[in-house]
Amino acid sequence: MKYIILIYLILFTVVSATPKEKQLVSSKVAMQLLESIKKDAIVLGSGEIEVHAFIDPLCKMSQRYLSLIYKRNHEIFSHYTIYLYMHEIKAKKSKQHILTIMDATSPERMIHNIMIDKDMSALVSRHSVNSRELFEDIAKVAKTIGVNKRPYIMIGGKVK
Amino acid sequence: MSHFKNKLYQYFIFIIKFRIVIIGFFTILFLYLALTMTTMLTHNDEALWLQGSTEHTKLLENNHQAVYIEKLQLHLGEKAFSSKNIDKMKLLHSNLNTIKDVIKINSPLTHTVISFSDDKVGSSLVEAHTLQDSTLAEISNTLTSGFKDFTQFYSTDKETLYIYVFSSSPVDFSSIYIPFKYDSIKVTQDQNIFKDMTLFSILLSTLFILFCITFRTLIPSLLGVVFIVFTTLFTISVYKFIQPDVPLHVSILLVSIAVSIMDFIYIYNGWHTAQASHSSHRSLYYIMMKTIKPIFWTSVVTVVGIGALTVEQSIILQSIGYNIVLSSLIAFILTFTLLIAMLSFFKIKKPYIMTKNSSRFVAGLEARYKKSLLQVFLIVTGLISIATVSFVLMQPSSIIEDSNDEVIHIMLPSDGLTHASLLKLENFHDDITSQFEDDIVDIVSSYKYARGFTKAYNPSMEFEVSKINLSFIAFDFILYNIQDDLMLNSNQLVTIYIEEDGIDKNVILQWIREWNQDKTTLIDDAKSLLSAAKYDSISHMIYVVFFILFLLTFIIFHITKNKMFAFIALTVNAIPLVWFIAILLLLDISLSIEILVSMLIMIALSSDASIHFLCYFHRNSKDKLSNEEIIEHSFIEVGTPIGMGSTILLLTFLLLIFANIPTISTIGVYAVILIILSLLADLFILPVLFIELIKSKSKVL
Repeated sequence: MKYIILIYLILFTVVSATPKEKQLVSSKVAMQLLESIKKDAIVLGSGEIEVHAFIDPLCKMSQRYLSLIYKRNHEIFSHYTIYLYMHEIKAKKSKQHILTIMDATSPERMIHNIMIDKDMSALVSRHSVNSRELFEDIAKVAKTIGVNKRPYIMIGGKVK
Repeated sequence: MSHFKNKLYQYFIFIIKFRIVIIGFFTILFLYLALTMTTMLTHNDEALWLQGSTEHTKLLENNHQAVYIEKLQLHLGEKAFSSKNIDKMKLLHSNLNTIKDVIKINSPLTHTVISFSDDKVGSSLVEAHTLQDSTLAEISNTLTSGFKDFTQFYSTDKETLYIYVFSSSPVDFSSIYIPFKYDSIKVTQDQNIFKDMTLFSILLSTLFILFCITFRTLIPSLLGVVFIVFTTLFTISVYKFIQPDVPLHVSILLVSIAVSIMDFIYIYNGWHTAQASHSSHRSLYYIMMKTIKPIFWTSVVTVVGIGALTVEQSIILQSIGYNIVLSSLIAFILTFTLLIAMLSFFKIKKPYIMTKNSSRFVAGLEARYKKSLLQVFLIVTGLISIATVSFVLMQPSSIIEDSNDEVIHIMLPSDGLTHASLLKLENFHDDITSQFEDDIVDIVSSYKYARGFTKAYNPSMEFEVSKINLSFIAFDFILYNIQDDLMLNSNQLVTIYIEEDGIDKNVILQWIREWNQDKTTLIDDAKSLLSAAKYDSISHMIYVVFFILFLLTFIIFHITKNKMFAFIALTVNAIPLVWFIAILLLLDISLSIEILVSMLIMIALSSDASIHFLCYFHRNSKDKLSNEEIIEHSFIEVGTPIGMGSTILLLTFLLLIFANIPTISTIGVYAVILIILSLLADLFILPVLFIELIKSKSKVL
């Protein structure tokens, strides 16, 4: 029995120590996948180069990243188009926040309220079926691509 | 008498006949030039050094402006990272930002550090951040715990904070409040009429008093001032005609005045003393006859020797060359026209000869010189000369001037943020680091941050420039606002911070200039450009110094047709230089452009004295005078004006020391030392060598 436990521990250590693949699909496939959910993204800027970012509204790093983008909005938005995909980190329990952003008349304003201003007063508990479907679509694509952290930033189908 | 049947006498008669016309002509010309004069003098020698220099010209050809970097050294006390100090640093930042020309400030608050954060529940971020918006406590903690990222901003004992201020023009830091004790930074004022007038007034007053004391009459004082004022104005006017767009540096003008006054002193002293036994007019003619040859040849040495500077690329060296050449030529013309015409109106009854007794005393001592002492002195000087040359040849870096501003800013032309440009930067980083590993604190460039970001994104990946994802790096550069610090119009900017006690900056600068085979690297910070400009001029100046020495030797040989006279001229002028360089090496003072300019001026002046002395000895070498008599007479006729001229020059250069302009003050210090050494050689070595090598042998013969 002790050998079985020992082998189990060794295997567990090896598996957890092995770095997870940051991206599970090729950049070409990733681009195709992103293309399929682009319409569901919150779009900032109108630049030539596309940047795709999976973020969680309650993730501190995502919040910091978004505030940096807003801080440098003039330069960023003229060179880049930022596609923001709301993708929950399970531990953050942010599904309600994501659906509120998706349901909002102006998702850009809502994302700013929740992530930058930390204003949660507009949070609602009832959400549309459409936004629930969008939430699932993004989650599926994220799983296929291998989104393992937030913010998960991609340019040209490649992750940072 | 044959003395009166020659062209010189006819010329003298012509001058006397038309003296009023001559004085009138020069006075009208003087008034016209004075009324139409628009020249402004400059105190900013840095601007003059940069004009025409290789690196600065390259910069202008690329339509790139120089950047001014000032390293503020602020005293923090014992608690370097205390809230109080950090608060003061923030206040200093806001004060510096009020200065219009400040482009950026590099300090612990603005220094960009790449970090990786991971909350272990799915959030992680690689980011570049500064401490600018952090709280006092956060800044204090970061500086304490992550000091290795901020070492270039602190002295080894952490008691001094370094802040680098980048600006588009020199900044006057006295205009803002600096909330620390700091080493004052002087900004050269470009124009200061009050200072110019004070310097000239002191110089003229000194001349006036000195002449009064020496000759006990007001005539030389008045005529000396008139002569200087005329020479100065004519020199400035002709110079402005030759180089209309170049401002004239006040010190160059002072030096050229000092050079020209020597002619006046020789003529006046000769005329004054001759009146002890001759009439005024005859004295005037005699002194013309005696001095025209040496004055002509000293002018030739100055014009040809220092004239070599006029073909230099550096505007300041050209300016020195033109002004000394012009003032020498104009002084020669005015001496044998205006001065003769003016002196012809005066006469001295019972001329007072101040140096009569002292000349006899010193001559007595020198005539009884000990041959063994002379031999020992010459052997020691010869050995020192060999040792000095060997030392300089073995350690060429010892001739490079020290520089302590410890930062170099360069631009590498490139086609934007590409793998090729990053590879070039990587080569630069690797090469310079391997060459100066212990001397460079930090190199800030696109490569540094591209590497930093890439390694932070993929810590397990072996770094290679080809693996850098340029799309992400370009995005991050914009996102973290570091693009402008690292690139300019697709060209790469590199800032190199040098260790406080590291190798001299000039050594690194020279290495950088030679690193790039195609010579496209642009040095673009003003101080480094200045160092490069001065460095480039050093080798040219060494050649000019040697050229003047050999020109002088050749001219003395041409006049005397005697190798011994030529040898004495070379020896007497080389002795002060040898001893001077030996003192510099002993005190570990590196050879700089200021020292070379001083050497050049000293040789030009010293050659004057040598030519006058040797011409006198050559003229009187066949006389049946005793050693003591010939030295005594030479001291009265030549030694007195040399002593007076040297005193005036000493005072002029002492004034330059107090001019508070760094380069000029340094020239002043070295010139004073050199003039003293050269005066000693002219008064004590030259006569003894003449007796030893020429007079004693002619007696034997």
